[in-house]
Amino acid sequence: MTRRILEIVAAVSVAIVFAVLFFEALSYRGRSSYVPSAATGLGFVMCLFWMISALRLSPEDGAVPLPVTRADLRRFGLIILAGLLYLLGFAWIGFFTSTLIVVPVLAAALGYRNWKVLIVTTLGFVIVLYGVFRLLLSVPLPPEAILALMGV
Amino acid sequence: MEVLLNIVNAAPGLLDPAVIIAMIAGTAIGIAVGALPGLSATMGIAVLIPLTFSMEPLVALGMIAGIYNGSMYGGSIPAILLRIPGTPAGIATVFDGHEMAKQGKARLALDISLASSSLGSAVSAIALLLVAPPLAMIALKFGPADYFWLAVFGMTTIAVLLAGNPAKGILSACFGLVVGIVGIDGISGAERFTFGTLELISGVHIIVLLTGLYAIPPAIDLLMGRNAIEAGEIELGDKSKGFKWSSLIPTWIRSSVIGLVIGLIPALGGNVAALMAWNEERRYSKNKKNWGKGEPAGLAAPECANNADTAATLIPALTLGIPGNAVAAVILGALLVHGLQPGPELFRANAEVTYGFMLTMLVTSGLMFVIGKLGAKAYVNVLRVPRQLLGPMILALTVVGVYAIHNSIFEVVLMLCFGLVGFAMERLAIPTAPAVLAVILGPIAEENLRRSLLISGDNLWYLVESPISIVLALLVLLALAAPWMPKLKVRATGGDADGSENDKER
Repeated sequence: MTRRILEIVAAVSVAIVFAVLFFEALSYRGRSSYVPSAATGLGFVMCLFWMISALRLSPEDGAVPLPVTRADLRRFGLIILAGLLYLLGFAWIGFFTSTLIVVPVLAAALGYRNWKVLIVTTLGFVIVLYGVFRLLLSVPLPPEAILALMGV
Repeated sequence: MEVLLNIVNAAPGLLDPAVIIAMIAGTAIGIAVGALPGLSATMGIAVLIPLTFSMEPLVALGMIAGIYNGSMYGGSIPAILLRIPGTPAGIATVFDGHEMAKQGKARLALDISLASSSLGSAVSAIALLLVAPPLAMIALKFGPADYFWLAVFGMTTIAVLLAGNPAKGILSACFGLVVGIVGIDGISGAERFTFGTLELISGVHIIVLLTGLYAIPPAIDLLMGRNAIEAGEIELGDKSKGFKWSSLIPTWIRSSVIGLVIGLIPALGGNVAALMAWNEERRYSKNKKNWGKGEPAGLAAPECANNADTAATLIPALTLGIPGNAVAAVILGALLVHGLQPGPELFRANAEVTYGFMLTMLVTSGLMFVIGKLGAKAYVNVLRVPRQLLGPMILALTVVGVYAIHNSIFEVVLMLCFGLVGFAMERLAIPTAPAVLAVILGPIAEENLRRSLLISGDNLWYLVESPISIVLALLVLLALAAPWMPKLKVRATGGDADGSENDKER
């Protein structure tokens, strides 16, 4: 994909979002609609300008394929997947338990292989977080699977 | 006189052990954050704000002041040692700083950078203490229409001047305006952009947006390996003996002034201040050919200027509620979180905390010197922290930090979504600062617009009746026209509008 195509696709997508929001804003009553309509309308117009500027990109800027490799996409997918699993883990097995799993696994998946550093750093990090958020700030985090296993 | 009295009243607050620990910790963290390429003061503060919720305001603000000052110096460490600026403001530091390191004078370069940064920060903090309160009194004369134009001016300058393509800057501001509108309208009680979602009725918390936009994209970049650095064996060299420190005094004076002035102007930042100071000092220098080859003044100038910019950017933010750049916007967010509404009232109703905060900016500039000097070797080791570990840790900190605001997983999901939006914006060269500024300034603009219309009976001319409003409206027009001015100049002269002597020399 070239820079020009990416910019046009992005501009069109954002323009659609702003158009939807613009019609939503028009449904608000009286002065409540002034700023929402102005902001979304202006946003839509700016998307049009963005599209025009993307079309006018010079060949050396616009027609060159993006420097994105298959490995980059794979890595990005891995990060998103890890983020999603982390969120699910946060809600289901607790923050500290999921951090103990996700931090070293993600680091290892991205190529870091010094397991000693990985384990020691993760443990130290989780202990500091536990001290700050559980003991100091008393944040009511979801129940921890690891603490339940330990009978705490 | 009143200013001095307020300073004296606020000073004892800094002797609180919690404030002292917070300032030391903040400065130490700030230097480390700045030293890591890809991480910035904005990101450091954004991650930290949720952690400061339960702290006393001055403790939290002392820590934030330390991070802000410390990170500006921290950025010079990789710039000098690895030729990689840790923060955008460290770009000009590379020119002479790294050359000095290559000549085996890394320790001297770090010392010059540290001394210059501390001096710049101290001058900036003193300016903040002396200039902000009188400026805040001027702001008392502002009516609703003036405030409307002030907020529009703040948004316009950042949106138009920060982006290469003004349309993208304005688009970013529109995104911020929409985010700022979400929730119940305070005047009419109408729900706006909530789409029936219960969690959105109270609006989007500024910290959710700030953390998403400023902490998640650098974390993704670290994980993607974009800011990967190879820091092998780093030699600091011998201690600098015989260096004539007094030769840098004129450089420090000139660069401090440049940093202060640049800091006051919206949309400019530490990087502009540093580059300008480097260039100006070279113009004054008798041995121009040494510049870029390890000239000590070429390192002192940008470091002093980019730190002199720090507290100066807070002057319009604290007095008028108009943040000039992303860091100021994030700090404004921190003030709001602690119930401190920027503007003239801040200096009256919360004088002790406000003056205390300004004093912490001064104290942390001194602490930075001590911590930077004692921890020089430790900070060099920060460059060796594996990025694959740092990325997930930032992610974990942001997740738990945002959850701690309202114990809401919905806000965590929202923050991560903003993070992805921020990442996409960076890839598409859309600046994120206008969005953050619009979230803060949008509601101010809307409230004052509606108040003006209410007072005037929907008479739009009321918006340009007062002289302040007229000046601000003209400034908005000027800011909007600014991107096209060089093009018009080219057409008029038929030459290269940007072809200044400086650019040609560079």
